[in-house]
Amino acid sequence: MRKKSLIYSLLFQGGILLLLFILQFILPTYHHSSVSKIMVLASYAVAYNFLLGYTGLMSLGHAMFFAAGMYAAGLGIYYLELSALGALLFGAAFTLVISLLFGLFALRTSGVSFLIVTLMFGQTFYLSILYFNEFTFGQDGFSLAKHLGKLVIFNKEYLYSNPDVRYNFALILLTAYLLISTLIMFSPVGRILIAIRENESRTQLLGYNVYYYKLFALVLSGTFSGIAGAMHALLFTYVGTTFAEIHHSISPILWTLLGGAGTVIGPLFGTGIMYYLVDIISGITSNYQLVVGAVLILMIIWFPMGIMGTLRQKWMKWLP
Amino acid sequence: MDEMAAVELLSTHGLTRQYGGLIAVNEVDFKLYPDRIHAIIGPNGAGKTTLVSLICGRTAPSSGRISFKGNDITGLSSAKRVQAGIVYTFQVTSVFSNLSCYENVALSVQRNLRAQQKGTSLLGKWSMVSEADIEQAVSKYLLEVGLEGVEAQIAGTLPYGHQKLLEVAMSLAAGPKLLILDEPTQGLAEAEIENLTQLIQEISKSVNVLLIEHNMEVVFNLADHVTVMDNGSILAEGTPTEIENNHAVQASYLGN
Repeated sequence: MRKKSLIYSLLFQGGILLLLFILQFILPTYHHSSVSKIMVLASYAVAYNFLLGYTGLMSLGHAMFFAAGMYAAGLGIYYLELSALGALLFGAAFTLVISLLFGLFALRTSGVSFLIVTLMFGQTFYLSILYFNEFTFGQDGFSLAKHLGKLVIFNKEYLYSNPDVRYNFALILLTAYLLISTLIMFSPVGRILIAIRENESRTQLLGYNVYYYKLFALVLSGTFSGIAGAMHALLFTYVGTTFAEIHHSISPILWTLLGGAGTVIGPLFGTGIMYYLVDIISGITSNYQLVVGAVLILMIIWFPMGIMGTLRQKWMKWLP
Repeated sequence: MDEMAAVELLSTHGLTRQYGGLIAVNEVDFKLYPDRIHAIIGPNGAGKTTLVSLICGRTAPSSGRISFKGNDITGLSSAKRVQAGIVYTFQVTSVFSNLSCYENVALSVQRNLRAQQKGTSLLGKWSMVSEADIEQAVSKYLLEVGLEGVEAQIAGTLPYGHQKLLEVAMSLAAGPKLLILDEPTQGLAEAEIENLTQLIQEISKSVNVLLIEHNMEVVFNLADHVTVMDNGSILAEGTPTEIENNHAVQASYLGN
């Protein structure tokens, strides 16, 4: 039963990724660029969902991890003249340390207290970037265009911000995240995380040290968010504080809830729909947040489980 | 039966739990010997559930010590105690009601299977636990409690009596040395009680059972040894027959 679900979901996700691969040859320039951006942000949402959807922990400070990866990679390139790969690894290592330290503190709390602690840490990180503006370039951020080397494939040089490079790297990142999430959710560890979401104290009384598993989920989610941030810095050659702001912590919550918390592929749909919704409405009115808010309220009334959550309940029971 | 010479499996020494001014468990020296069904009875509020909560680590004691198989376990977390073999089965069923019965039991099975793995692999012990082994063990435990074939059903949709059985299957799957059953027959119909009594009898052949029970018929049918609690203390101990004839017990609990 489980094996069949795994095969179905890999086929389903594979189909969607294949579709995304083919789309790059069809899409006009504008949408080509939008979809690249969506795939990087969706990777962030997939990482976020790992904590919210599967472990049942809601964080209001995930921008910290995204920005930590982004700044570590960007500043690494700027000051240490790291290569792109070096910067990516540096960003990953930095967020790994940050999320581990953060988890050791924050996981002593739960529920609303956890939410507040994550919010405080997130804001502290954001304000620190502004405070150390001589080193981080504060509110202005900085461009990596002049500092980043070129990508060499078969003796040909490409810029990392080349649309095709950008698109395919974003696709690789998303593919890796979806695959890793799926494999974890079908493993014994995934079963424990879901159990923690459903009933933490009962899980503890089945002999699991719940704290370690929550720490694992948090570190994985944080580090993956950081890698997405580092990738964003490389592909869009810009590092800025907007990615550390509170709204960048709230966005992945909305994307995840819209797409379906606790479904591997849901965050991709949530991110895509929300991105285009904002894109279209902000062309009509500057008050696009009002419309987004209304859509979310309707969504929560009619589909509280999100798009994929509802689909799973009705038809696709095998969906992870 | 002369088991007093045997080494106790579990013992408590001066175990106390206070809630503000209320002393729920008061300086209790409780001893449990292996290879028999031990029941704790007593009126509501006597401290039975608090005592077993202290034993399985859900509640921390105000003072006193607990030892299990000769080791002091007072400082161990509830998860560590499950790993040591003290498994608690809830009074009010506490299955994962949104998950399938398979997932419920698998969760318990996989920890036990992992604990049995020797050595470590590159990816850790989890990679050594195969889903096929889990599947096999889940079917075995479901069959043992008489719930074969419910694997795909969502646990919350099972009838109440079956949820209790599922709870027992989860506990058995954890590989207990001491199984604590907190009022297992509460809320069950006559036929279900009979069925469960037989099951407990069967389980007790391989696992030590500590039973908290209100239903006297069940207690006298099953238990080899009975502890009576009242007001947070042990009022009397003995075989079911001794307890039945004990005047203090009759006065406080059995009524007439």
